[in-house]
Amino acid sequence: MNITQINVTIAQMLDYTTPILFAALCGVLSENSGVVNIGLDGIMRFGAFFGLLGAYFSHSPWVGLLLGIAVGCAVGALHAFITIRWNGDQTVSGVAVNVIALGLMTYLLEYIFSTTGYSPQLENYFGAQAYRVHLPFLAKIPLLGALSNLSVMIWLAFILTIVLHVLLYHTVLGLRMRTCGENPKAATTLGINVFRVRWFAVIAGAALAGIGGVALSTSSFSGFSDSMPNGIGFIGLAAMIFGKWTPFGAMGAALLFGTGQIVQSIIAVTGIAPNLAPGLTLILPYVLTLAVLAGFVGRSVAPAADGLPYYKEQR
Amino acid sequence: MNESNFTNKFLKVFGIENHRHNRRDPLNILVPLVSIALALILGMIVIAASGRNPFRAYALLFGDSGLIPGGSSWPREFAELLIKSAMYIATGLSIALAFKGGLFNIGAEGQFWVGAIVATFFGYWTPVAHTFGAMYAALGSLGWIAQLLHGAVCIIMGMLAGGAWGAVAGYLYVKRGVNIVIGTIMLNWIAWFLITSWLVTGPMTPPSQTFTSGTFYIADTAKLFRIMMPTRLNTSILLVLIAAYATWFLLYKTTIGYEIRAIGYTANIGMDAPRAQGININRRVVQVMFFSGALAALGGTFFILGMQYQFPNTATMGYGWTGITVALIGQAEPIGVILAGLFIGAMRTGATSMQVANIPKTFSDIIEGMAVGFIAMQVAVRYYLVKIIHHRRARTTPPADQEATA
Repeated sequence: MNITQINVTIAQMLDYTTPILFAALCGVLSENSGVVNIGLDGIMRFGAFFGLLGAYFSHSPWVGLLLGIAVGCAVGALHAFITIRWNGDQTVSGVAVNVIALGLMTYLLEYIFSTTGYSPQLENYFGAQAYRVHLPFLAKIPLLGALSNLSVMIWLAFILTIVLHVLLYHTVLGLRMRTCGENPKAATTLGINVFRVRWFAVIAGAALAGIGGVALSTSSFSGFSDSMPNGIGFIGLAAMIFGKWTPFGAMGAALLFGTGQIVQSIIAVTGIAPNLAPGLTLILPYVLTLAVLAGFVGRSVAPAADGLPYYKEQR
Repeated sequence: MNESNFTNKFLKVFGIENHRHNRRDPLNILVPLVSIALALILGMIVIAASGRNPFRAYALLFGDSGLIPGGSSWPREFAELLIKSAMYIATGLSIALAFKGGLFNIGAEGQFWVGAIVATFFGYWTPVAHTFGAMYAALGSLGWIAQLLHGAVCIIMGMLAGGAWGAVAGYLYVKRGVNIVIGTIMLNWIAWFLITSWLVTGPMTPPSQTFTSGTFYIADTAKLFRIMMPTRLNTSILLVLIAAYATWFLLYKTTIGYEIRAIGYTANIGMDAPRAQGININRRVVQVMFFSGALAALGGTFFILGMQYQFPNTATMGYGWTGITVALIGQAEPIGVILAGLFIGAMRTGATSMQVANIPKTFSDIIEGMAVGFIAMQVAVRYYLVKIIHHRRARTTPPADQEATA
């Protein structure tokens, strides 16, 4: 395994990590304010399809990105409307979003492109050379060379992780969000409008999941396939828990899970354990998450009011 | 009068009585019906917005759903409806039972597939298959006993395995504090990848074959009986009705069921009352997850023993997820789950015909998703229903605090 191969593998790993990271960040933002969003898998599906749609008809992935964000916000607003305005069960609402996404995207795929299974391939997408971030001065350095030619979306994911960390832990708004997630009653006592904060967190989080979907269909791949996002939203959810509901923790977990996805190609390249079945490596992220949750690898505790509807008048 | 007396007596024979004295609220039935109706109306708008005829689409959807008798293809459609519904009712019951205990068992999907793979294994595994094969040959005209026993072995082993898979989530919840939703989602994917990317493509695949469609085929003795011969309708629908009755009996006629419901009623407020009553909550939660997993696995065994006769490598997820929809529309009552399962089975059967009108068969997912959305929003649905009903009755008093009732 020479240095070029290592660089290619690292770049590939980062490519897998990006959608997982976006999904995890969606969960971090939403759940720190106290709203569980199991529908983020469905929101990613919306984002993936509409991202492709915008990029396909405008011949610019940036339009796709904007459309993906807009649709993500819209679906997030639906989730917020059900769970915050009407105190609906957050998990049930998330299930509804997932099921609607499953049916509606297939419907639109066949309606708009008259194809089944796969959309037409994009020529201008974030994964294409023209849209990559070229950093030639890194190319000569071992290991960092992997970073010299990455998609914009990969950088965006890591930048947004830092932004989210600053937002959550170094701004007033972030403090308010975390208060709403830990103890909404106390937040109300302090004059914070819990409902407004939660609306913001859910919609902003859904926008991140939408970007994650766009990253999937216009950066990792150059088109939409009907099986997207193939459970990546749920891996993101696992990454969020594994990372203990913090942005940097989620980033570390997403990197780990991204590595889990390329174990197969590492095995193929290095020739270690050639007979290992893919099923045995694919389950790693989930087994690790369960181990963390069960307290075998350090405890992970959710925000106290996570998942509970807030009734202002309740004692 | 006589008729209703007869009905009551008839129902009492089976132990079915009106037990929900405190829950006679007609809204319990109205909410799911209104949710489905609203979803169907929104579905029409989706079809119309994409420039197609919604009335033709719905005529195809319900005409070929197997619900309406008549036509040469009706027996086949009716059989398909019941075969599909049996699996959806099984996973629906699984989730409904967990709901009653205050648990959201999203893991029905994984438990379904665990049941399916274990049933496959006991269907083809040589020691078992040969034993029942020999028994079948020896019994001659009584060979159906061997078929009955082999089928029962497969189903029971599948249910035990699925139940164990569910109980793992329950154990992690009560002993290690792992949220049941997250725990079961993780176990879903672990089961799915272990089965489809390891067992089905590796140890359980026939060796030295150029073309394989999945695992070994199960022995003939393991297949479920067909009960309507030209069609492939099998006994799964009868078995699932028995399972529904058993679930109802467990919930409303046994001490365990009473304790499960006591835990479920108070799940959001700390379960102090059942704990003070001396209920062993931890044990009951693990038991609920076991029963729930076993019911989902029952659906998985139908998938193999009644339809596929092997574990195909083209299997796609979705039965457990559909079970969530079924349980929610059925309001987590066994009888409601049966009706909701039949409705969704009918939609899935008819949706295939909608492709004639250029509508993909996943259209039924859109309807189901929107129906679940309205059920998630049932506080709003109840609020407006009460408003409308009060308006109709021309009452002048405003509906005070209806929000609090749900």
